[in-house]
This record gives sequence, structure tokens and C-alpha cells, in this order.
Amino acid sequence: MTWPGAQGSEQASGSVTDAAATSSPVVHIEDLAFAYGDGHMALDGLTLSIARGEFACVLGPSGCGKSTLLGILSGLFTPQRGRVMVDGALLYEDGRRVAREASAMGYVFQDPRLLPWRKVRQNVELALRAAKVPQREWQQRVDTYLEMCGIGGFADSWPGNLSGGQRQRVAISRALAIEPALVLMDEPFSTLDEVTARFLRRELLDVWQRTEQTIVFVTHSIREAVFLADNVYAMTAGPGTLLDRWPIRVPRPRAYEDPQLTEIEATMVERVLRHWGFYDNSGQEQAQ
Amino acid sequence: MGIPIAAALVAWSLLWDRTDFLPSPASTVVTSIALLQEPETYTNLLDTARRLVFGLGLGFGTAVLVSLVMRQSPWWRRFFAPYVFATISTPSLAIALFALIVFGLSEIGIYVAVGITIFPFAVISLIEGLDNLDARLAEMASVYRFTWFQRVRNVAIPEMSPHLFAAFRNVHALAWKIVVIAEVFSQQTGVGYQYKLAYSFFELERLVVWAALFIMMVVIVEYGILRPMERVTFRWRRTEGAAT
Repeated sequence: MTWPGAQGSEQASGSVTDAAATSSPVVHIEDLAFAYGDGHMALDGLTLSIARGEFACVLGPSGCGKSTLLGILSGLFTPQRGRVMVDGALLYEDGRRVAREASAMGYVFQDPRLLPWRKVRQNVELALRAAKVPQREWQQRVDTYLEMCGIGGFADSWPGNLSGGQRQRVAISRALAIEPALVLMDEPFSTLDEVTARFLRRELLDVWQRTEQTIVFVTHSIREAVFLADNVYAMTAGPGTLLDRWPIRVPRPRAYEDPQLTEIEATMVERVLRHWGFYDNSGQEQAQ
Repeated sequence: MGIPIAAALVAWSLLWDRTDFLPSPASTVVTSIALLQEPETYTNLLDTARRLVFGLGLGFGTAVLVSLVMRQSPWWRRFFAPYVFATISTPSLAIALFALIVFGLSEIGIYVAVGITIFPFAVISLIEGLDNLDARLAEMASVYRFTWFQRVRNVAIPEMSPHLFAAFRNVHALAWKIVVIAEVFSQQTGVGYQYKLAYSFFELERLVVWAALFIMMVVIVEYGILRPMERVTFRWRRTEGAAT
């Protein structure tokens, strides 16, 4: 698999050479395959490593198995083939779940998935309790992370009284507050309006830099991936495997409209579209 | 509610003299004051209330268990479906008589009669609630490794509460009536027994007063217990767009 005009990227089949990615991977996946009950293959032969503290964006078209990947990492699905290591612990090997009770990971869904009958503070506390965080730390954790996500004043509100963006901030606080080895995010801004989404992306980067947590962020938006990521992991169209790992070496803070990002985005669009099967002769982009 | 009551009272005071069966309002008031002063009145009311509580507990508890089992697999659903159908289509009176024959004239017969009568109605509402549980919240609970207790207490029960309340409200009205019917046939105390006494002595005042006391008891449960409980349980719903 080679592509003309490839620059700044490493191919999936090659070894990952970035120092950060090899020093201490938090996630290490080898030859992962997953099929749903109806036989539909979602992932087939996915291999990748994500370094500690990395902001990793997994990019792919709908149906490429990105969400399935998060489902596997979070323990919802057991893959049929492959090895998955998270934070030094072997999670799956050859279709078997190895770690019996893997520690919880932070997970931000497309929708906030808060319990509407519990106040904001209790929503976060329930995750803390499940993650076995000692009760004496709860108050401080909740306050710190809600504050960090810009909703410190809403701890005692019902989720139903918050806007969509605010609820998603609570969901992000919940994911970060358990201070997990890994925070998984499944297109968390895709249901928000673009202005709110941009604002939240910038804030997410701030929070991530302060907490130094590892984030695996799934998206179908190339611009979003390029703006956020240390490395963009582009997937093939389903069944998903790694097409390309693409380090984004633009220093932070980044501006959403930075011409450097636009350029990277354009190159990336050019390349992935060929493989996502959206490329037509007019050169029009259709993937977004 | 004031106007319908006033209208009924006016009609009563105008019409009672023209019939040979309606008691006069004045003699009814006298009877009710006399009844309210007798301690046995309250023992009778409490007896009926106790039978209701045990019968409801038995029927509702069984319904909760059965609907949880029915949710486990289609096989269990098919297994219990005929029982639900049979109990829902049998006349309540037949169920009451059957239970009293099987369990004799003891109070247990009443509990069973009430339990069997309300069981299918409760199962149907509960199954509907269980079928509509939000898989997305279950997924969230499982990703965050909620314990079984956390899931039941913070996800399942609050999510089921609207259905639990609806089911309970439906069956509680029904249960009162069954208790009274069963009492008529089997007991020496309780509102049903008082109806029977009033009937055998042809004392219409007493029948009216006991009916009024009975209605008051149902109203107290509804407004004094159920509604305040609902208000507390659903306080989160008074929020805008309370979707997840």
C-alpha cells in the first residue's frame, strides 16, 4: 500500500517510528478482528499503538469500525482475533477476554448519556464510586473537573436544565474525573452546533494538556482530527484496518483556521478519499 | 370536585322523599356521626386496609418477579403469557370465590384473590416499561463498570418508575374493589362485611355512609401517599428537555 505524494506519514505496514509511540504505549493493538453477530466484519487486521499522554484521533468513514474499536477497548465487545493491551495489561488475546475485571475507562459518547434523575454532581460521583475512588476524594474531584470543563456552577443542577453543550461538558468531566488510563471519545461534538463544537474542541485541548491524560478520539471529520490530534490514525473503509498513521507536527495552541492545518487537511483528504471510495473524477470531496 | 358533589347533594335532598328506598340526608348525617364515634368503625376500616396492603404486595411483588423473568428470554415470555391471559380474562368475582374456596374463609384467601386479580395488569405495564429501557444508558453503566446495585438503584428503578407508578395506580383502584367483594363472602369484619350487614338489615343509611368512608380511604391513599411520592420521584422531570 503506497500512495503517490505521501508526506509526513508512515504506512500502516511499517513499524511505528515516532519515539513517543514506542516508549510506553498505553494502547497496543495487534491484528485485531471483530465481526458482529450477523457476520458483518467491522474490523479486520487492525494494528496500532498509542503512546501515554497522546491525543490520538481515529479517523474513518461511517461503518469503518471506529466505534467498534472503542467498544472493544472499553470492554463492551470481545474481538474474535488479535491482541489488545491497555496500560500494560493484556485485555484480549485470540478471541478471549484475558483481564477479568479491566479498570474502567473514561468514555464520552455522541450523546451525553447522563442520568436525568441524578444531579450533575451525582452523575460524576456514580462513575467515581464505580471506579472505586475513595469517597473522601469525591468532592474535590467533582469540583476540579467540572470547574476545568467550565461548568463548576452547575454541580447541583439537573441535567435536564442544561444545554446540549453543557451536558456534553458534564460527560467529559465524568470521563476525566475517574482519571483513567485511557479516555475514549466517540464523535462527542458531532451533535452540537458548529460554534459550540469549536469552542469545546479548544477547551478540550486545554483540559487535556493540563491533565496529561491519554485520549482516543474517534471522528469522521478530517478537519477536527487534524486540529486536535498528535497523531491521526486513518482507517480504511470497513472492515476497518489502519490505512495510515499521520503525525500532526503543528505546535499548540492551534487555530482552527490555521493555513498549515488546512494544507495538511487537503493532502489528507486527497489521500484518504481514494481509499474510502468517495473519489470521483470531478475531484469533489464527498466524505464530509 | 366541589360542584359535582354539591349537585349530587342537591339532587339527593330533592329526590329522596319521592322514592321508597333513598334515606334522608338528615338521618344519614346522624348515622355517620354515630358511626364515626364507634371505635369498631376504625377497626373495620383498618382491617380492610390491611387486607389491601397484603393483597397488593403479593400481586405486585409476583408481577415484578414474573416480568423480570419474562424479560430473560422469549421462552419465558411464552411460558407466562397464558397465565397472564387467563387471569386477565377471568371475572374478578370468580377469582375471589375460587381463592376463598381454596384457602377457606381465612384472610389469606383475600390476599390471594387480590393478588391474582391485579397480577396480569401489573405484568402488562411492567413488561412495557422493561421493553422500553434505554440501551444507551445500560451501555454507559457497563462502560463505567457500575456495580449491580448501582445499576438497579440509579438506572433501572428510576427508569422504570413511571411504569411502576402507572401500574400501581391502575391496580390499586382495582384491588380495593376486590377486597370488599371478598369480604362480603368471607369475613366478619371490614368494609365489605359492613355492606353485607347493612344489606341484610336493609339499612340504606349505613350502606351510604360506609361507601363514603371507603371512598375517603381510597382518596387518602391517592392524595396522601401516591401523589406526594410521585412528586418526589419525578422532581427531575420539572426540568426543560430532560432527555439523556
